[in-house]
Amino acid sequence: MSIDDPRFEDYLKTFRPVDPPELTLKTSRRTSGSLRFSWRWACATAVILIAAFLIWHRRPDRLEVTTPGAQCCAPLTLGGANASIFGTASTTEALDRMVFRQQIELPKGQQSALSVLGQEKAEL
Amino acid sequence: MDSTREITRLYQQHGAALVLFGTTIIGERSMAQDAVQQVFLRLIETDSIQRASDPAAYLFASVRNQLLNETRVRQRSVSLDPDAAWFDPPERDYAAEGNLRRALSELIPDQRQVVILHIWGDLTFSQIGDVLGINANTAASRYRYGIETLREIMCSGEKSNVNR
Repeated sequence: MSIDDPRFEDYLKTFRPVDPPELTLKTSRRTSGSLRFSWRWACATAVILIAAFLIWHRRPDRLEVTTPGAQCCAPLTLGGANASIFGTASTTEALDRMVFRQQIELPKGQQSALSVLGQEKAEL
Repeated sequence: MDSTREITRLYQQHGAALVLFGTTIIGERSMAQDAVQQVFLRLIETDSIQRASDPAAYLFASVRNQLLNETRVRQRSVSLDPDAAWFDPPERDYAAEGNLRRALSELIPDQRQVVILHIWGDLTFSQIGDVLGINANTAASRYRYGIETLREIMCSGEKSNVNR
């Protein structure tokens, strides 16, 4: 081989550098990053939807509890009667409240003990 | 996605020359391959190739910096691996490949880097100046001396082979 100046570069270029191995794209970091991101969004959305569903379905109950007039619909108990008598200025007023309180709407087929007793003819 | 495709294309275009360049800096081909891979993975993660005005020069400079950092961290002197092939020789002339590799190993590192960047990296002297932090004239001068020395070493190697 004779290597003269003008051809030397061309000769050198006939040697090709050994190809490196395939680039192992660890795009997992990026892909998994975006996947993680979308998973977070999916989880957050699911939590919000579940919370909204639960709030929507529990709302009537909560309203019943928080409505001021709701207490008048509660069943009359001995403790409640005592509290009513001792909580008001006169006993008559307390009794009137108990008697003329709003009736609870019982489910169909059920009736309150007071109404049953009211229907009985008591023999004195 | 487009940048990943662009980076893959750059790897196919410059990967071999980058590994060769890295091998002559660090001495071991496997370490040079690792450095090149790390540079490309970092490019994918950071998308920094989009900001590079000259991607080829940027890649060679990145590989060089990566390897110089490694040699600094390891505080080791670099000796070139005499056994690993650097080139696919024309017509499977492995004796000529060995002769070229030996001649490149005998060049002083500054000249060797310039020769490799110009011949196999296809970089201009201006780009080489950017990669190595020198001016283009210095790069051209180192190349001229380097190629002359390389030619002499290779010719003497050829003669000694013929005499045998």
